[in-house]
Amino acid sequence: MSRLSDQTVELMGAYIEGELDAEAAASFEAQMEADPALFAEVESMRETMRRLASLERPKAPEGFSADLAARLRSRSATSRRGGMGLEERWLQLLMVAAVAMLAWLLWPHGGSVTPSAGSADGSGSGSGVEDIVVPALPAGEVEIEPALPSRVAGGPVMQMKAIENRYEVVTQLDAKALRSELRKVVGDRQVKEVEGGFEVTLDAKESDAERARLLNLGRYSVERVTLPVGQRPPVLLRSLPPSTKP
Amino acid sequence: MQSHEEEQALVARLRRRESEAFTELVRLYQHRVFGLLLRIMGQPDEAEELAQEVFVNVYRGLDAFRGESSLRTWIYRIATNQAKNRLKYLSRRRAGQQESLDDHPDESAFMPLGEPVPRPDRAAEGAEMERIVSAALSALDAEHREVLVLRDIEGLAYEEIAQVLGLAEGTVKSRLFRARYALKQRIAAVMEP
Repeated sequence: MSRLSDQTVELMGAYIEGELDAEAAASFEAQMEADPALFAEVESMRETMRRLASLERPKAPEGFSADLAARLRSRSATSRRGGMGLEERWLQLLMVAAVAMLAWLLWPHGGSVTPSAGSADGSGSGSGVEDIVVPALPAGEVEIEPALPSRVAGGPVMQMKAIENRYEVVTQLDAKALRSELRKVVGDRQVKEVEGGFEVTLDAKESDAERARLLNLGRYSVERVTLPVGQRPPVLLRSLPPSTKP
Repeated sequence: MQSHEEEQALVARLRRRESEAFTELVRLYQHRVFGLLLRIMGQPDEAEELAQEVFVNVYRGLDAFRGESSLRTWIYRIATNQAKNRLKYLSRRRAGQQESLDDHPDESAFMPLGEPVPRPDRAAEGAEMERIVSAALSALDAEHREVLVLRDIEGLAYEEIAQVLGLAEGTVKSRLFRARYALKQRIAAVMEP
């Protein structure tokens, strides 16, 4: 049968649900008698409803209640510490971490910030992106301590370590949510649970965009900064002009 | 399902901030909320994360619950709103990361019609039919999915669905009938030889 009109679909739905008055129902039944295809449509619709109703009911994962309890405790503690929502705190913390990393990159090497029209990876030019060339990270382990502590109520709660080609993000906040976000961005294979946090290994071939996505962590928008690690040549930090930031 | 009296008693205990009452609430609704969100979102991780947030919001919002609707309706409303917000966010993110998506296809996208859904003549009926119906449901747009799940899976009355979705009852019915027809068409397209 060709596609039914919206009017017929609604009439058929009302008939099946017993919403039509006696006269309208009788009229629709007369139509069905005269039109076997319409009768088949009604039967098919009823079968669809039976199939829907018999779908398996999914169950919440094991440990759902325990995870919820932990989340509520975490939110409660966060609220007591700072009086600020978790997402706001997360965003602020990631921003602080990004600023801290930038500050660290510049400070010990005496590196100058050089505005550049082009970009080391061939992107960014002409796209409203301001390019800043800074020295590459040195080999070995580099630890970025939380900066601007006065802006982070409750003391140091986050560290970012850049170790060759991987980032280590350590947080005391809502580990389950962080794990979920990380896995969405880089997949299970690259996320390893370590004491107090998760270690994320980046492929050496991964693009700046991938790193930006990792730092973005889904909803926490620090995606305007890329922090390539382990590259020998001067690396590129990109930042959008303030007016274009979210 | 709870009787009206049982629900009122639970609400009273929740308002007194009895921790055991909240535990009971979670026990009563965790599977329903997760199931609703799984059908709307299509991904278990997303559904679990959102379901957790739903209960956090329920916990925080208990004082604002005036009992003008049933507890179930109120919780489902929070859940569907969370899902809508998340879908909007994911949609915006997908649009903003089109280049990355080309390299890494987003598996969270709902299975479109024409994906290799197993044909019923090649598979055992029960489980495969479930997969076909689930895939067809996932391929509908979010508005159709939510109304179908609320009515035909969760069994809510029109009035309750209207409260959950913030729509007039007439709109709920119209949307429901069209959603059922769209689902039927998708299933038929897969099953026709």
